[in-house]
Amino acid sequence: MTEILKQLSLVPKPLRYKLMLAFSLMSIIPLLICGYFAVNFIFPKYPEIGSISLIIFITLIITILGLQLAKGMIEPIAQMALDAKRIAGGDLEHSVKVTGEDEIGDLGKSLNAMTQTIKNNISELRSYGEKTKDINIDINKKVMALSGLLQIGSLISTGAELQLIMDMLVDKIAHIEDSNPTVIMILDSDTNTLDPVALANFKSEDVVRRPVLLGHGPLGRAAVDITDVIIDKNLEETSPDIEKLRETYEIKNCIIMPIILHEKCKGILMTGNKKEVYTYTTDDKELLRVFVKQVAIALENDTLIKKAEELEVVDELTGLYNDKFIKDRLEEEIKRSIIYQRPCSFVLLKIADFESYCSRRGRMAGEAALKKIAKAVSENLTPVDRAARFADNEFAIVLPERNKREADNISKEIKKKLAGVIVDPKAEAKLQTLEARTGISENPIDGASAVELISKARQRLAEDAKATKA
Amino acid sequence: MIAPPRRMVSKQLGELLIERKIIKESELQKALQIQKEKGGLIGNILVLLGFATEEQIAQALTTQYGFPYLPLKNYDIDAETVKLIPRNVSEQYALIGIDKVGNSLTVAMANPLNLHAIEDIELITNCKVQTFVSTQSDIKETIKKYYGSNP
Repeated sequence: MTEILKQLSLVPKPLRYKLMLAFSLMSIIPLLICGYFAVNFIFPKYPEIGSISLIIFITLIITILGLQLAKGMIEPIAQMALDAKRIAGGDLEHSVKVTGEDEIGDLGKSLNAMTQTIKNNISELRSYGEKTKDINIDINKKVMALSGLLQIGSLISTGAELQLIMDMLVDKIAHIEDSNPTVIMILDSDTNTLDPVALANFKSEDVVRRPVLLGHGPLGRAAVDITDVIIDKNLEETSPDIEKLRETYEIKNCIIMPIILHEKCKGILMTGNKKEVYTYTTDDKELLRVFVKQVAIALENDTLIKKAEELEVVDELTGLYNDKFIKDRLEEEIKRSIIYQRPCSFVLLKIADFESYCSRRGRMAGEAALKKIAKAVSENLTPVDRAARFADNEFAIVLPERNKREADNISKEIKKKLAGVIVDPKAEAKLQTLEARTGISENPIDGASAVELISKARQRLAEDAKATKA
Repeated sequence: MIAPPRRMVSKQLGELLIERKIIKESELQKALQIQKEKGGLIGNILVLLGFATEEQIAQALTTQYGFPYLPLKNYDIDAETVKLIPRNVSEQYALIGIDKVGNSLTVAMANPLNLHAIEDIELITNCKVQTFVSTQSDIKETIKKYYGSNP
């Protein structure tokens, strides 16, 4: 019978009915047939019905016991089937109740072992998933950082303003992770301080904007020692300085890296976070180092641009000197004049209504006109005189050893000449020539410095424009 | 009026002093050499080297060009007249206004040949300028005395 049940157990659902059927076929039906024969053939012949009833009663008891046994065998299987169904439904925490050491018990154990294996596999898969997620986040971080670096690189190569580049650098570094407080400080060698030039994500910006004295605190020391300072979980022992840094900048962990250019420290970069437990990885450090190098490149580029500008003396459009050169020249001529007890004059010449000329004839025509005017101005000067394009439509002339009267004569001659210069033959008659206004100043009468002379000349230029209009 | 070209006065002054036997040709050459290297006015260099005194130079100018010599030390000047000319103009050109009568301003100058300076003074004061010769150090001292020691 157990063999049959074992076979039947493969199809659990109708198991109970099959068992009932089997029980009926094997016990109840033969019993009923026996009963029938007993009632019809045996009972009428033998009047001692009592003992026969006892036999029937015992038989009934045996039958019921058999039923109980069968039920005892089938029930764990049915229960197991229910448990297996629940596990299959996803409840891996559920286990099959194991009763007895028989085959059903073995089956239960096997099922439990299988469930455990599946459970282990799933948790392993889950941890792989987590790892993949971390790796993806890491890759994403690096891709973002690299694209940021590319953006900064192109910004540097277009010669953007240093402040703009620094702001962008801070922004990109802060966003390597989510909005970390980040600051770039540049060394001011005159005051020996690290001055914050760009910062992001600090709560109290006023505090962060304060300069840091060189050699003081972890920031100042990082700049002097030219070493990285890393404050994180791996920090062996804290110090009052470090605690003060944490408090001032409201951070828990941070990396401080010196910005190095030509083996000299030009400033520092600090980025931190507020996580209670945090460790900076080698990757974090390397990525940050690339950014620090970018800061150094931006600084060097800025220095080179400034140097190139300083070296430039000629205005590209007109070929005359530029404003910076003429200011230096004027200062020099004044000094010479003072030594040799001689005068020196300065003339500012402005093209009248140049803006409206440009708006009517176009910027190109305006530039062409400026070129012609520049030529006419320089033709009227001696080799010791110097002419420059001072502003958009302004020219400046330094006249060494000329006093006011002489400068006035020269300026009048230039004005007269300009009145005859046809700047654009194609333009309508009114726009063919451009008028000039002038302002003259002289050393020593109007001052003994370039600034004084320029300001006096500008004042007189305004007076001239006003007088001509009136 | 055409301004004398650069260095003409120095050359003139040097030659004038040689003619008057105050300095020797070699001394002038040495002074010119120093002027070339370090700059400065030839008269000042000659005084600094001890080849001539300021008085000798002033007197040479007086005799040659007929400018009257005015020893400023013994002369009382009206402070108002001095201040007709701004301090830095007086200092730069080494001159000082000493007397004003009507439209005529008398000015004591170390170098009365500096026509630029005379023109500038006439422009500022609107007066006709009469020149006197004085020594550079006398003028410097008088400027300090009348304008105060701090520039």
